[in-house]
Amino acid sequence: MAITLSGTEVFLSDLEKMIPSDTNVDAALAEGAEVIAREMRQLAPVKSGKLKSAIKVGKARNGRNGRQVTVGIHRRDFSGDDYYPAYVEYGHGGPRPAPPHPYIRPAFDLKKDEAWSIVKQAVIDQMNSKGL
Amino acid sequence: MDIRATIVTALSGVGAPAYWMKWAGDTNPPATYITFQTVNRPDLSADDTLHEREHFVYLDVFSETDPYPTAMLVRSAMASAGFYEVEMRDVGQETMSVTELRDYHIAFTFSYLEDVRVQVV
Repeated sequence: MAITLSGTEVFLSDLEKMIPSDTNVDAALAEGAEVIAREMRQLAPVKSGKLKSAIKVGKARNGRNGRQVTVGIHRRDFSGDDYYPAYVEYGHGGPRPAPPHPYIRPAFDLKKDEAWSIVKQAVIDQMNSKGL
Repeated sequence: MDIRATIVTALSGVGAPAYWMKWAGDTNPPATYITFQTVNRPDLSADDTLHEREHFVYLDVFSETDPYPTAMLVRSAMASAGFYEVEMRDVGQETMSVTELRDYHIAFTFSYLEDVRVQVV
């Protein structure tokens, strides 16, 4: 129950050509992803607090389109036998239906633009700090 | 603009009742029903003028039988009302046990751009 931010989205045309190879893209991606993670924590319903505290930004890794991070709840980080974050997001039917409580999708929809801006600015700040 | 009323009106011909947030009856839920929730954000232009508000709609079709025909009607009805489909997905098969999966479930995300044009002071 996580979404992925790809570093490729950051490297817009001219900017991509200007970024030095030693730029810490991972830190920039994590900074942008944290904005979405914060929104997820605000939207997540709280009973025990387990769901909210499980929302994290993952480590950057190579994806099909370059470096990427995931943000949300990662199965491997969710302790306990009952993995229910998807039930909360989507709800379920049945004789005793549970309504959806979207907290992953709205966080991304509402904050994706801000996240991209932060990632881009983080890269620009790094370049500025190097006098570029 | 009342986005909830707009959605309910858009779905009025689908043949399944639509509820904001959740089905809230006392007896068994209808064989097929729809729930929806919304969030929105202002889309400010460079001159601090609010031109548009972007609404996101998370819409779920629950059904005791295959909800696909209803989902297709939902897709068509929402498109006719000006909603843009962001995604549609089957839900549940990979996360729920057979005993829990009494209802089938298709989830949509739609977006809608509301033209507002308000000067922000």
